Amino acid sequence: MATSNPISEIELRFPLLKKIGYTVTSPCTQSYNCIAWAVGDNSRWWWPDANLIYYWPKSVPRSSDLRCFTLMLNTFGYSVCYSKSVENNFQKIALYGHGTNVTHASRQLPNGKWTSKLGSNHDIEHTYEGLDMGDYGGIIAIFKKRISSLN
Amino acid sequence: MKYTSTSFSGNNINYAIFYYLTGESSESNKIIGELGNVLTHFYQPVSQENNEERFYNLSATWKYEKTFISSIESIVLHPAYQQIIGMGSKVLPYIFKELNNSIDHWFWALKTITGQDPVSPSDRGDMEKMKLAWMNWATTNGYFKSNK
Repeated sequence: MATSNPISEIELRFPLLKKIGYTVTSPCTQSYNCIAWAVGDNSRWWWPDANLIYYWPKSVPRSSDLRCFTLMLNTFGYSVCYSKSVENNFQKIALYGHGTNVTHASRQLPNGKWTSKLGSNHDIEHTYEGLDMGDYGGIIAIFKKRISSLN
Repeated sequence: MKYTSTSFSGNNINYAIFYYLTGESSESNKIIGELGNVLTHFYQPVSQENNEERFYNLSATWKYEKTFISSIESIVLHPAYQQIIGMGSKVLPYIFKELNNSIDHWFWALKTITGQDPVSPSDRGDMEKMKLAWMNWATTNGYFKSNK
Protein backbone atom coordinates (compact mmCIF):
# COMPACT_ATOMS: atom_id res chain seq x y z
CA MET A 1 0.00 0.00 0.00
CA ALA A 2 1.01 3.65 -0.09
CA THR A 3 4.41 4.50 1.27
CA SER A 4 4.90 7.65 3.31
CA ASN A 5 7.61 8.82 0.96
CA PRO A 6 6.45 10.05 -2.46
CA ILE A 7 10.05 10.32 -3.61
CA SER A 8 10.61 6.60 -3.08
CA GLU A 9 7.45 5.96 -5.05
CA ILE A 10 8.72 8.04 -7.97
CA GLU A 11 11.92 6.05 -8.10
CA LEU A 12 10.02 2.81 -7.80
CA ARG A 13 7.74 3.62 -10.73
CA PHE A 14 10.47 5.21 -12.87
CA PRO A 15 13.66 3.30 -12.09
CA LEU A 16 15.85 5.22 -14.53
CA LEU A 17 15.31 8.47 -12.64
CA LYS A 18 17.29 7.27 -9.67
CA LYS A 19 20.11 6.18 -11.92
CA ILE A 20 20.23 9.20 -14.24
CA GLY A 21 19.08 11.86 -11.79
CA TYR A 22 16.11 14.18 -11.46
CA THR A 23 14.87 17.09 -9.40
CA VAL A 24 11.52 17.50 -7.69
CA THR A 25 10.27 20.99 -8.49
CA SER A 26 6.79 21.21 -6.93
CA PRO A 27 4.62 19.80 -4.19
CA CYS A 28 2.09 17.07 -5.03
CA THR A 29 -1.19 18.46 -6.35
CA GLN A 30 -4.38 17.29 -8.01
CA SER A 31 -5.01 20.71 -9.52
CA TYR A 32 -3.39 20.04 -12.89
CA ASN A 33 -1.85 17.19 -14.82
CA CYS A 34 0.99 16.62 -17.25
CA ILE A 35 -0.91 17.77 -20.32
CA ALA A 36 -1.92 21.04 -18.67
CA TRP A 37 1.61 21.53 -17.35
CA ALA A 38 3.15 20.87 -20.76
CA VAL A 39 1.06 23.58 -22.43
CA GLY A 40 1.58 26.00 -19.56
CA ASP A 41 -1.65 25.72 -17.54
CA ASN A 42 -1.38 24.86 -13.85
CA SER A 43 -5.02 25.43 -12.98
CA ARG A 44 -6.88 22.56 -14.68
CA TRP A 45 -6.74 18.85 -15.35
CA TRP A 46 -6.72 18.36 -19.11
CA TRP A 47 -7.96 15.13 -20.62
CA PRO A 48 -10.07 14.31 -23.69
CA ASP A 49 -12.48 12.01 -21.86
CA ALA A 50 -15.65 11.08 -23.69
CA ASN A 51 -17.67 11.67 -20.51
CA LEU A 52 -17.08 15.45 -20.81
CA ILE A 53 -15.79 15.83 -17.27
CA TYR A 54 -12.30 17.28 -17.75
CA TYR A 55 -10.98 20.21 -19.72
CA TRP A 56 -10.20 19.84 -23.39
CA PRO A 57 -10.27 22.54 -26.07
CA LYS A 58 -13.75 22.66 -27.58
CA SER A 59 -12.62 22.51 -31.18
CA VAL A 60 -10.63 19.29 -30.74
CA PRO A 61 -12.10 15.73 -30.78
CA ARG A 62 -12.03 13.96 -27.42
CA SER A 63 -9.94 10.80 -27.59
CA SER A 64 -6.64 9.76 -26.04
CA ASP A 65 -5.33 8.81 -29.46
CA LEU A 66 -2.17 10.54 -30.70
CA ARG A 67 -4.19 12.08 -33.56
CA CYS A 68 -6.35 14.09 -31.15
CA PHE A 69 -3.39 15.19 -29.07
CA THR A 70 -1.67 16.27 -32.27
CA LEU A 71 -4.72 18.34 -33.23
CA MET A 72 -4.80 19.85 -29.75
CA LEU A 73 -1.14 20.84 -29.90
CA ASN A 74 -1.64 22.19 -33.43
CA THR A 75 -4.23 24.61 -32.04
CA PHE A 76 -1.55 25.97 -29.71
CA GLY A 77 0.90 26.40 -32.55
CA TYR A 78 2.91 23.21 -32.14
CA SER A 79 3.89 21.02 -35.08
CA VAL A 80 5.60 17.64 -35.24
CA CYS A 81 9.38 17.68 -35.16
CA TYR A 82 12.01 14.98 -35.17
CA SER A 83 14.71 16.27 -32.86
CA LYS A 84 14.91 16.23 -29.11
CA SER A 85 17.70 18.82 -29.13
CA VAL A 86 17.24 22.33 -27.84
CA GLU A 87 16.56 24.80 -30.66
CA ASN A 88 16.76 28.51 -30.01
CA ASN A 89 13.37 30.19 -29.90
CA PHE A 90 11.47 26.91 -30.01
CA GLN A 91 9.45 25.29 -27.26
CA LYS A 92 9.19 21.49 -27.42
CA ILE A 93 6.73 19.00 -25.99
CA ALA A 94 7.17 15.22 -25.97
CA LEU A 95 4.19 12.88 -25.85
CA TYR A 96 4.54 9.46 -24.25
CA GLY A 97 2.34 6.48 -24.83
CA HIS A 98 1.70 2.87 -25.56
CA GLY A 99 1.27 2.56 -29.31
CA THR A 100 -0.78 5.61 -30.28
CA ASN A 101 -2.50 5.81 -26.89
CA VAL A 102 -1.16 8.90 -25.15
CA THR A 103 -0.31 8.56 -21.47
CA HIS A 104 1.91 11.54 -20.61
CA ALA A 105 3.50 14.78 -21.79
CA SER A 106 6.75 16.54 -20.96
CA ARG A 107 7.92 20.04 -21.85
CA GLN A 108 11.51 20.88 -22.72
CA LEU A 109 13.30 23.48 -20.62
CA PRO A 110 15.86 25.96 -21.96
CA ASN A 111 18.64 23.94 -20.31
CA GLY A 112 17.75 20.89 -22.43
CA LYS A 113 16.13 18.98 -19.59
CA TRP A 114 12.42 18.21 -19.49
CA THR A 115 9.73 19.05 -16.97
CA SER A 116 6.91 16.64 -16.16
CA LYS A 117 3.93 16.62 -13.87
CA LEU A 118 3.63 13.02 -12.68
CA GLY A 119 -0.10 12.43 -12.47
CA SER A 120 -1.28 13.68 -9.07
CA ASN A 121 2.26 13.63 -7.77
CA HIS A 122 5.16 16.10 -8.06
CA ASP A 123 6.51 18.10 -10.97
CA ILE A 124 9.99 16.93 -11.74
CA GLU A 125 12.87 18.00 -13.95
CA HIS A 126 14.45 15.07 -15.77
CA THR A 127 16.47 14.03 -18.78
CA TYR A 128 14.93 13.02 -22.08
CA GLU A 129 15.38 9.34 -21.21
CA GLY A 130 14.46 9.67 -17.53
CA LEU A 131 10.92 8.34 -17.76
CA ASP A 132 11.77 5.41 -20.04
CA MET A 133 11.01 1.97 -18.63
CA GLY A 134 8.30 3.50 -16.48
CA ASP A 135 4.52 3.50 -16.44
CA TYR A 136 4.11 5.83 -19.41
CA GLY A 137 5.57 3.67 -22.16
CA GLY A 138 7.92 5.52 -24.50
CA ILE A 139 8.08 8.85 -26.32
CA ILE A 140 5.82 8.56 -29.35
CA ALA A 141 6.04 12.08 -30.75
CA ILE A 142 7.82 15.39 -30.30
CA PHE A 143 6.31 18.77 -31.17
CA LYS A 144 7.73 22.25 -31.30
CA LYS A 145 6.49 25.79 -31.67
CA ARG A 146 8.30 29.02 -32.25
CA ILE A 147 8.36 31.41 -29.33
CA SER A 148 9.77 34.88 -29.17
CA SER A 149 12.09 34.12 -26.26
CA LEU A 150 12.52 31.38 -23.71
CA ASN A 151 11.96 32.26 -20.08
CA MET B 1 -7.56 -44.91 -3.79
CA LYS B 2 -4.27 -45.17 -1.96
CA TYR B 3 -1.26 -43.26 -3.16
CA THR B 4 1.75 -45.39 -3.70
CA SER B 5 3.56 -43.05 -6.02
CA THR B 6 6.89 -41.65 -4.89
CA SER B 7 6.69 -38.72 -7.31
CA PHE B 8 5.20 -36.32 -4.75
CA SER B 9 7.22 -33.54 -3.26
CA GLY B 10 6.87 -31.11 -0.36
CA ASN B 11 3.38 -31.04 1.15
CA ASN B 12 2.14 -33.52 -1.40
CA ILE B 13 4.25 -36.18 0.27
CA ASN B 14 2.50 -35.45 3.55
CA TYR B 15 -0.89 -35.70 1.82
CA ALA B 16 0.11 -38.99 0.22
CA ILE B 17 1.19 -40.39 3.57
CA PHE B 18 -2.03 -39.10 5.15
CA TYR B 19 -4.20 -40.73 2.50
CA TYR B 20 -2.21 -43.92 2.79
CA LEU B 21 -2.54 -44.08 6.57
CA THR B 22 -6.20 -43.05 6.82
CA GLY B 23 -7.46 -44.78 3.75
CA GLU B 24 -9.22 -41.59 2.60
CA SER B 25 -9.23 -40.87 -1.07
CA SER B 26 -8.06 -37.58 -2.55
CA GLU B 27 -11.62 -37.07 -3.84
CA SER B 28 -13.15 -37.27 -0.36
CA ASN B 29 -10.50 -34.93 0.94
CA LYS B 30 -11.29 -32.46 -1.85
CA ILE B 31 -14.99 -32.61 -0.95
CA ILE B 32 -14.15 -31.86 2.69
CA GLY B 33 -12.12 -28.88 1.53
CA GLU B 34 -14.96 -27.58 -0.63
CA LEU B 35 -17.37 -28.01 2.28
CA GLY B 36 -15.07 -25.83 4.37
CA ASN B 37 -15.14 -23.14 1.65
CA VAL B 38 -18.93 -23.29 1.49
CA LEU B 39 -19.20 -22.88 5.25
CA THR B 40 -16.78 -19.96 5.19
CA HIS B 41 -18.82 -18.14 2.52
CA PHE B 42 -22.03 -18.97 4.36
CA TYR B 43 -20.89 -17.29 7.54
CA GLN B 44 -18.79 -14.53 5.94
CA PRO B 45 -20.35 -13.75 2.55
CA VAL B 46 -18.98 -10.89 0.48
CA SER B 47 -22.48 -9.35 0.50
CA GLN B 48 -22.27 -8.92 4.28
CA GLU B 49 -19.01 -6.98 4.14
CA ASN B 50 -19.35 -3.56 5.69
CA ASN B 51 -19.95 -1.03 2.90
CA GLU B 52 -17.89 1.70 4.50
CA GLU B 53 -14.96 -0.60 5.16
CA ARG B 54 -15.12 -1.97 1.63
CA PHE B 55 -15.27 1.54 0.17
CA TYR B 56 -12.22 2.75 2.10
CA ASN B 57 -10.23 -0.37 1.27
CA LEU B 58 -10.99 0.00 -2.43
CA SER B 59 -10.38 3.73 -2.26
CA ALA B 60 -6.96 3.27 -0.65
CA THR B 61 -5.92 0.78 -3.34
CA TRP B 62 -7.13 3.06 -6.12
CA LYS B 63 -5.48 6.18 -4.69
CA TYR B 64 -2.14 4.46 -4.38
CA GLU B 65 -2.14 2.82 -7.77
CA LYS B 66 -3.33 5.82 -9.81
CA THR B 67 -0.92 8.33 -8.26
CA PHE B 68 1.25 8.75 -11.34
CA ILE B 69 -1.51 8.39 -13.92
CA SER B 70 -2.76 11.34 -15.92
CA SER B 71 -5.11 9.47 -18.25
CA ILE B 72 -8.63 9.72 -16.90
CA GLU B 73 -9.64 6.53 -18.68
CA SER B 74 -6.86 4.67 -16.88
CA ILE B 75 -7.79 6.28 -13.57
CA VAL B 76 -11.48 5.41 -13.76
CA LEU B 77 -11.08 1.99 -15.33
CA HIS B 78 -8.97 0.87 -12.38
CA PRO B 79 -10.65 -2.27 -10.98
CA ALA B 80 -11.00 -0.79 -7.47
CA TYR B 81 -12.69 2.34 -8.85
CA GLN B 82 -15.00 0.20 -10.97
CA GLN B 83 -15.95 -1.82 -7.89
CA ILE B 84 -16.76 1.41 -6.06
CA ILE B 85 -19.02 2.49 -8.93
CA GLY B 86 -20.58 -0.97 -8.82
CA MET B 87 -21.56 -0.42 -5.19
CA GLY B 88 -24.08 2.13 -6.43
CA SER B 89 -25.80 4.95 -4.58
CA LYS B 90 -25.09 3.52 -1.11
CA VAL B 91 -21.48 4.59 -1.58
CA LEU B 92 -22.32 8.25 -2.28
CA PRO B 93 -22.07 9.46 1.35
CA TYR B 94 -18.56 8.00 1.61
CA ILE B 95 -17.47 9.52 -1.69
CA PHE B 96 -18.73 12.95 -0.67
CA LYS B 97 -17.04 12.63 2.72
CA GLU B 98 -13.79 11.81 0.94
CA LEU B 99 -14.23 14.56 -1.62
CA ASN B 100 -14.94 17.09 1.12
CA ASN B 101 -11.71 16.10 2.88
CA SER B 102 -9.51 16.20 -0.21
CA ILE B 103 -9.93 16.71 -3.92
CA ASP B 104 -9.68 13.60 -6.03
CA HIS B 105 -11.09 12.12 -9.19
CA TRP B 106 -14.47 11.12 -7.87
CA PHE B 107 -16.35 13.07 -10.52
CA TRP B 108 -16.61 10.22 -13.01
CA ALA B 109 -18.03 7.90 -10.36
CA LEU B 110 -20.46 10.56 -9.18
CA LYS B 111 -21.69 11.28 -12.69
CA THR B 112 -22.05 7.57 -13.43
CA ILE B 113 -23.85 6.68 -10.20
CA THR B 114 -26.18 9.69 -10.03
CA GLY B 115 -26.71 10.36 -13.73
CA GLN B 116 -26.23 14.03 -12.87
CA ASP B 117 -23.57 16.59 -13.71
CA PRO B 118 -23.79 19.83 -11.70
CA VAL B 119 -20.45 21.11 -13.08
CA SER B 120 -20.68 24.02 -15.48
CA PRO B 121 -18.96 23.26 -18.83
CA SER B 122 -16.74 26.28 -18.26
CA ASP B 123 -15.47 24.73 -15.01
CA ARG B 124 -14.47 21.37 -16.48
CA GLY B 125 -11.01 20.40 -15.31
CA ASP B 126 -10.94 22.98 -12.52
CA MET B 127 -10.81 20.54 -9.63
CA GLU B 128 -11.73 23.08 -6.94
CA LYS B 129 -14.80 24.30 -8.82
CA MET B 130 -15.84 20.75 -9.73
CA LYS B 131 -15.57 19.77 -6.08
CA LEU B 132 -17.61 22.80 -5.03
CA ALA B 133 -20.36 22.06 -7.57
CA TRP B 134 -20.61 18.43 -6.45
CA MET B 135 -20.53 19.26 -2.73
CA ASN B 136 -23.36 21.74 -3.25
CA TRP B 137 -25.28 19.05 -5.11
CA ALA B 138 -24.61 16.56 -2.31
CA THR B 139 -25.83 18.97 0.35
CA THR B 140 -28.96 19.84 -1.65
CA ASN B 141 -29.76 16.18 -2.23
CA GLY B 142 -29.10 15.03 1.32
CA TYR B 143 -25.92 13.05 0.77
CA PHE B 144 -23.71 15.37 2.81
CA LYS B 145 -24.20 17.54 5.85
CA SER B 146 -21.88 20.49 6.15
CA ASN B 147 -20.48 21.17 9.63
CA LYS B 148 -20.74 24.92 9.03
